Amino acid sequence: MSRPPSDSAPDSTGPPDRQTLRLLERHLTSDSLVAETAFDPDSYEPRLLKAFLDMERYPESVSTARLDIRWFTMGDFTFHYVEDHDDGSQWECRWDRHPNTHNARLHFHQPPAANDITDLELPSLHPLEVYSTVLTAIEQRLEDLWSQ
Amino acid sequence: MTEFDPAPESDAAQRRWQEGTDTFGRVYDVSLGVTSPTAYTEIAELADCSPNAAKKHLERLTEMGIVRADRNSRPAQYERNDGYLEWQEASQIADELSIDEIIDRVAALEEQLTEYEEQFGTTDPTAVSVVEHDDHEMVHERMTAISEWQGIIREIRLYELARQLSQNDGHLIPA
Repeated sequence: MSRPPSDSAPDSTGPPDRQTLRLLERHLTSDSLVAETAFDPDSYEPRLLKAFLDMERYPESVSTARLDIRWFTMGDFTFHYVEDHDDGSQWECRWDRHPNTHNARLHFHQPPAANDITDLELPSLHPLEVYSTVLTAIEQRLEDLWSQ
Repeated sequence: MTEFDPAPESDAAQRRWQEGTDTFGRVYDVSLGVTSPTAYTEIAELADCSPNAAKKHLERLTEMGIVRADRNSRPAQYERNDGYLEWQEASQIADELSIDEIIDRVAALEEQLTEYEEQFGTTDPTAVSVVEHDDHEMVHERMTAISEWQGIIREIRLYELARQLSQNDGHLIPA
C-alpha cells in the first residue's frame, strides 16, 4: 500500500485500498441505515465491502437493499446501490470515480437501471465525505419510497 | 416523485460520519483516508476542528506511527503511514491464522494469480490498460479484474510478512 509512483499510468486504479475499506466498514456498522456489513472474499482479503441495509426502514414492496463499495489505492471508487423489489424489478444507481473514455472520471449512473451516466461533482473526495454523501442520498431515496 | 439527487447538499451529508466521535477520533479517521501529503489545515477542515487541535493530534498520531509527517513544508503536511499499517495487518494475521492456514491461502492466491496472468497474457498488471474499451460495463469489469490482480500480489506479500512474524514469535527479525 505504498504510494504509487508519480509516473504511473493515469488510467490505473491500483489494488483495493485495505485501510480505506476497513475505515468505511467501521463507520457503516454504526450507521442507522445499515443492518450488517461483510467483506468479500473475507476480512483477510478485503476487496469488496458489502453493506446490507436495514429493511425495517423500507416499505414492504422492497425486499432487499444493498450497497457494494470498492475503493482503490489511487483514490478511485465505486458505490453501487441496488434495491430488489417484490415485483421482481430492481432499482439501482452508482457513484463512480475511474478512468473511462466518455465521461468525467467522477460520474454517476442514474437510477433506475444505472445505464444513463452523468458527470458528478462532490464537495470532497475524502472517503468519509464520499460515504456521507452517498448514505445521505440513500436516506433521501427512502423518503421518496415512503411518499410514493 | 422528485428526481434522485446523488449529492444532496445538507449539513447532515457533511457531518454524517462524525456522529459520536471526539476531536481526536475525527482527526484519526480523516488521517486513515489521507494517502498523499496533505496540509494540516485541510485535515482540520475535514475533521471539523481548529488547525491547532488538528496539528496537536496529528503529532500524537505521528508518534504512534499511524501518520507520517513532513514538517519541512509550510504548512506541515501529513498522510497515513502505510508501512506501519501493513505491519499491523500482518501482525494481526500472524496472531489469528496458523502457519498452515497462511500457506494454504498463499497457494490459493497463486492459483488465482496464474489465471489472471493467462487471461491478460502478461505477468505485469500495470501493463494492461483499463480503458481499452469504449463500453462502460467492460471498463468496470476490466478495472475490477486488474485491481483484484494487483490486490492478490499484495496479499501474497502480506501473508509472507505474516509468516515471517509468526516464525519469529511476533518479531520482524529473529531474536
